[in-house]
Amino acid sequence: MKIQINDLHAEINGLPILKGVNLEMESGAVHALMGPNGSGKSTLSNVIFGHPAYDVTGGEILVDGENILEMGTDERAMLGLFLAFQYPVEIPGVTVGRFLKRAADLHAGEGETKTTGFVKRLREMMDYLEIDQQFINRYLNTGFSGGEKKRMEILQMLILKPTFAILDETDSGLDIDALKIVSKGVNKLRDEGFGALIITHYQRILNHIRPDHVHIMYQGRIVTSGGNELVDQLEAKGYDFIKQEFGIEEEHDVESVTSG
Amino acid sequence: MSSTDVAVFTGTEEIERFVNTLAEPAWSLNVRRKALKQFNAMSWPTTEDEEWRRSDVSSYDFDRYALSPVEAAVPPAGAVPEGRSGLLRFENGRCVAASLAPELAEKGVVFASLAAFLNDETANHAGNGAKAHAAVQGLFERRSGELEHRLFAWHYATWTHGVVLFVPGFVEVEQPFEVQFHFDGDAVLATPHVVAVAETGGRATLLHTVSSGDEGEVLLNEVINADVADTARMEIATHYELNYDSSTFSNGHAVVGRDAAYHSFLSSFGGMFSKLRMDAELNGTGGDIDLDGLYFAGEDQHMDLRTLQVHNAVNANSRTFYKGAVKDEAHTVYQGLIRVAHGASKTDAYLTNNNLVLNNGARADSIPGLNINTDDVKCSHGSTTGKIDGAQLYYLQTRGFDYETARIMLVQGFLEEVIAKAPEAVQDRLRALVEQRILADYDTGDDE
Repeated sequence: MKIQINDLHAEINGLPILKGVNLEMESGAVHALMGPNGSGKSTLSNVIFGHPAYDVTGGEILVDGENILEMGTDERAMLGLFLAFQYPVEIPGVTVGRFLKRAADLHAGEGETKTTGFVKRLREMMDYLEIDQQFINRYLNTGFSGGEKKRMEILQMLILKPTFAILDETDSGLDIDALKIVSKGVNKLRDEGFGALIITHYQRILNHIRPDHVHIMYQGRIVTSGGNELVDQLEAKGYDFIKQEFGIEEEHDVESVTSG
Repeated sequence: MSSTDVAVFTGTEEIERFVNTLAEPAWSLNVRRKALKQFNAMSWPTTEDEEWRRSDVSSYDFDRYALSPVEAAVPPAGAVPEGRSGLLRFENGRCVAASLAPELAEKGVVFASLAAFLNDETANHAGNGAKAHAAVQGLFERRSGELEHRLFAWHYATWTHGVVLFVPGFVEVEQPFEVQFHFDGDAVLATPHVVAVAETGGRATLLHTVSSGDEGEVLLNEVINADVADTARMEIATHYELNYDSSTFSNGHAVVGRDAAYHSFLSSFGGMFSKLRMDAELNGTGGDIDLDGLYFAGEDQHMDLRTLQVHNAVNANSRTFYKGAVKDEAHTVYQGLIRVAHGASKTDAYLTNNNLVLNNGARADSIPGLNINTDDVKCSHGSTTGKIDGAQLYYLQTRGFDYETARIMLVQGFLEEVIAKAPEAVQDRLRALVEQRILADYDTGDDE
């Protein structure tokens, strides 16, 4: 899968957040998107998925050459895109088992997921991510801790096997053990047919999932891209170095509205 | 009882004539005549009465309904269905199927047509006959003493058939009993009566369904009374599924003893107009009540549900959990009250009502309340009324669910939380009905 984002502009409630994003990604590679709070990272992931609160005011998102901006969220998912949420919602009354089986059926084609095979695979993946089997019968994310919710996102990713996954600050709020497990999940899928965009503030997760490409976002634009060395630079010098290097001035009003 | 068909049932003379045809024990006729007296002294509820404020019955012509003929039918014996301790089925008041597991009959369990039971006071019921009769009589007399509204009084004067479940002390029955009341015809006044008694340490589940044919107006005016003695456990799942021409009036009440537990599960799907009430009183220390409810109103249905948790004893617990969905142009009303009597300290009582409004034009009202007359209690209520959550919808869509599938899943999930509390034997039927109701198209008739 090839994703090309060209001069993407988007706003929420009339407030511009993305101001000309250019980014090219392909399966087979892991990208990291870094940037301070309010730089537009989460907005970018939601615009890729067509979140109804955001208006795209310019530019395009091509997936294998096709503009997806007119597609519904579910159609984009069916292309093989996956979004691991920063704050997964609780869905009371829908068990993890039922939800995952239905979702897996959707992706495999109705009836193609044999229940016995599915349950076996689900149990394997749960073991792999050190998730208690009891969770199969619990309501999705309902009453889960922050770490449990994040692991549930990764479990869904392993079950649905997307061609390209966006992980929106999956690392935030995780202790080191949970972080390792989440990273293990991503690394398990890493191959020619899988790509990912890891959105994060911190280089911590990138020690466990080594990205092939690193992009820095600031004030709604990708200001620079590079390899792993960019992560080390950022770690050593902080985001201020980016500001100086690219002559960026603060826009306090935007930051306070969009942070988080 | 002999056959009768008095046409009009809101006139004193007609009801009296009807009562005079019955060959019941004197106490039962007495209950009817006393109820008739109260009936005469009352008028039909109006929207001036707080309980009926949102459910207007002024357009009803109560004279237009006729009781089904009552027959002194000897219930046919039948085989006990798989997974049940006994089954009773009534069609238009006639008992058409009756069964009770023989080993339970030997233990003195009574599960019978109420009319047949009352007409045979000499039946021994493994030595429990006299006790069972005394319990039923006591419950009838206590409950009909002061009737709160005219429909109640109407019921006690005119009930034609029903069921009695009597579980003797320390008899624990695993499989549920089932009673079905089914009505066909038009302008039918349906007045079944349910009595369920569990003696000390007794334990049973009763599945209770009222249904109708697809067409024809049935006016159901039902009473359910339960007496759950010390340390006993009683579970009653009541299900209303009458057609859209029909009306459902129902009053459930339970008294719960020391360390006893009562669980009521009410599901309401049918009827153009429903006014359903479930009350439970905790009269002994350590008693426990769960009142669960599931309702789903569509088209232009009106459903009014009320619960009452009464704490008369210390250290007792009660929880109400009612969840409803409403679509099309339907209207639901939920009123719930926790009443804690003076001296009922260490009460732990909760009341939760959640409503999901599926479209503009549908409406759900929720009115929870507390009436606490003592200190040292833990009581709370919570009520929500809202639409399908956009964030949940988006989440499911990012997983590939289309809008409609995601919406259905969320409505099902919303109601699943309460379905999971129903007796297992009815859960799948409820899930199927929920799905059917979600998918049902509303034809307003405008284009006909």
